[in-house]
Amino acid sequence: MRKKYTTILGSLLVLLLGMTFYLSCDFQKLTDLADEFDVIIELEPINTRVLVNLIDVSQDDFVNKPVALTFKGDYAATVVDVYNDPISGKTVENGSFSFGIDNLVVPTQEEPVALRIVAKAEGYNVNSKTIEISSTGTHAITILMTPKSQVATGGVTGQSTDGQAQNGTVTTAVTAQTSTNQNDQTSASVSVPAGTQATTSTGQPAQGQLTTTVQYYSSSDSTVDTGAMAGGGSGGGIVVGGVTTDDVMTTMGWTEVTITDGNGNEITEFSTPIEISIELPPNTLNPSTGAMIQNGDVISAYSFDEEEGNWVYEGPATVSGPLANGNFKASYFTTHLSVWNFGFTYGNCTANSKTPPMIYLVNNEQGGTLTLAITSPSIFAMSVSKDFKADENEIKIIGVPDLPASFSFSATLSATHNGETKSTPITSSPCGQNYNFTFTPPPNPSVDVTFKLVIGEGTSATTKTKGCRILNVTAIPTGLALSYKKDGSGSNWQVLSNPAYTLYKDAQDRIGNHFETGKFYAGTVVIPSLQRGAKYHFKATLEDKVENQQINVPDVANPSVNVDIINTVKDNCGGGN
Amino acid sequence: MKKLMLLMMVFLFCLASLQAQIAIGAKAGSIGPGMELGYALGEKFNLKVGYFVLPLNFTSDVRSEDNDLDLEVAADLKFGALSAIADFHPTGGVFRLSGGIYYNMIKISSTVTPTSNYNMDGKEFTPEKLGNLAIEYTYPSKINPYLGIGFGNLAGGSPFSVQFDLGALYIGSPEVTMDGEGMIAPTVNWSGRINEAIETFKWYPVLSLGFGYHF
Repeated sequence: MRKKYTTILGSLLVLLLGMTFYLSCDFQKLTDLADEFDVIIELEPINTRVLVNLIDVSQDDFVNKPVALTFKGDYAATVVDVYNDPISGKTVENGSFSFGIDNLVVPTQEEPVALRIVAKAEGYNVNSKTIEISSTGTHAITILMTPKSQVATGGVTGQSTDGQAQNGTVTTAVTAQTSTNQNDQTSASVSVPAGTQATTSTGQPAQGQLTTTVQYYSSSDSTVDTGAMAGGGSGGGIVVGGVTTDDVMTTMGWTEVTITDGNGNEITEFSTPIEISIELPPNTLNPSTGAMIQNGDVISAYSFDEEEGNWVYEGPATVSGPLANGNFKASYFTTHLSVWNFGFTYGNCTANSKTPPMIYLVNNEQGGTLTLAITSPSIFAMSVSKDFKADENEIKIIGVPDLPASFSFSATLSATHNGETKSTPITSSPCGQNYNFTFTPPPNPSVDVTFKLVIGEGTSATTKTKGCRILNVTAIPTGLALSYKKDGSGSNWQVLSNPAYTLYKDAQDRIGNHFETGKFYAGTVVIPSLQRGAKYHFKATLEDKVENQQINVPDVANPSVNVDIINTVKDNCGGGN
Repeated sequence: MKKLMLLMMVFLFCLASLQAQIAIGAKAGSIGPGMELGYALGEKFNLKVGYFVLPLNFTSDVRSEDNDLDLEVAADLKFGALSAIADFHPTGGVFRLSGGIYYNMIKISSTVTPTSNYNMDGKEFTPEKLGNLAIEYTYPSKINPYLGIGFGNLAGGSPFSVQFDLGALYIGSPEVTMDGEGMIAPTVNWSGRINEAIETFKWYPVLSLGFGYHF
């Protein structure tokens, strides 16, 4: 009896233990997981990224021609592509490009990464811009591209077809002069004497009719935007004697000379120096003498290096005159053509142990552009601009000249944010100074918009088939830069800096197998303070792949919209992307 | 002198009685091989303390067909525990109910390392670029209650005994943590689903077989 009792009790307990173990453990879930699990391989995240927007100033839109970008400066070797491979340049087809900085380099306020980007495109003036990065995250830079056929505001132009060349020898001299600037009656000219040997950019001797175009911008004309100068103005980084310095270049006027031969090739080199000149009004003050400009004075001549994207001090330019129209002429003799500037060099703030000006922003919801434009009556002008991000409220402007206290000048510091421009006048050296800008708070109603990032569209079979699955299921593609702009003029492209993505992991859109048709979402990201009911242009850039979309922000609270980003979903079921 | 002898006789008598209640055992099972020390508290109750440990490690080559990639999985497993168990023999025979506490020393970790190149967008990435994964499997609590049945009376009955145990340890939901570096690092995104899948595995089965001897 005892034995029977023991046997029954023991059996019941075994059964109870077995059931407890089996029923409490979800083996099906584990089996499903084992079927689906696979390693996920993605490009490593790049901690510091830069989005370059190339804007055609004549269209106020992205340049839709190939633009060759090259990276210059001490940190050029740290530039990497989305694969973390170093790159020295890139040809961009659709006006937008994102690149990274090697993760081994961590930009900080104390040790920023400064990089110069040179942009060249057929039919456009070469331009460059320097970006100073002082934190990780995504940064943006806009490079304005001016068509060669376009004369910027305040500029004058002139053309001549008088010259002739045969087998590289100029047989008929070239003389070209611009029209006269209506505000200060100045002009610029170039002359190439007969007998000069001329070589084109292809290395071939010049041949046939020579077409000469001269454009000129006088800084005495207040309508001239010095920010339109090649290199974005005269920010620091002047090359003197082969050494890049932190000195700041000012301008009294700059000119661009282009000579093409009968084959359409640009002439770039001459065997003997040719003369390039600009006129200076008689009331021009020579800061080095403290007196009005006069015959025999010397100012500085600079040329723009289209390969390095910076200005090079060429030498002294002699002043002669007065001319018949009362103006004086500053001339420089050179053997190569480029953009030429006549002006002066000054040390920057730090060279004189002063701090660069600090700008403080309030209500900076979406980032924008800072521009410091200095004009000294009858002396010179310069400008420097810097893009700032949405969360960047303390900004230092580098490349500012430390002007002597004895100088009489006027300057305007302005900041443009979401179509609004705030300005402040400056009458003394901006070095060591602080400036505050308070923007208008976002218009009501503004909303934080949740963007559901569509990474592809699946057309797979809805039943699970062995070997049929979505490949390369990813989170957010590394290196992706998201930028947006409110529709309408006066609005700048904003880049979403340090986006906080949330991965999608619900039952329909989980990481792993996805057999359903319809959109596949990688995750969401929130963009703050967009205007309800407004239209925005949205751009997703992954290296040189761009996805454009127009989005209407719904006029509701807590709106959510889909936005297409670069597709990375691949489907081996015979469908998908 | 007489008092000393009397004290010695009492001491020897107690020692003889004590030795008759102490037992040692050796067993092996799902918690690893180990030793037990038992003490009889009367005819139907025993107390046991035990120590078990089983270190294992292995390396295996696997292939990710979808990624066209070879991987090496190296696992380091340590099973083991300290136990404090009370046995109740309801009929005074070999059948018993057992309950008590285990201090689990289970440690499971592994690394996954790609061993072949990977092709993405026409570019080849070496194993160094691909990186590796480190996976650890842990339990929320080290102290775990145990309930089970068994056969064999360690500290009572015949001097020699065969010990069989079948029971379950409540260990709580295990947790997998994954850490990765290199291009394979996003695999750690699976940890959420893995933890969901193993969440219900809160019981650790204990099955062991051994023998014992009591003095």
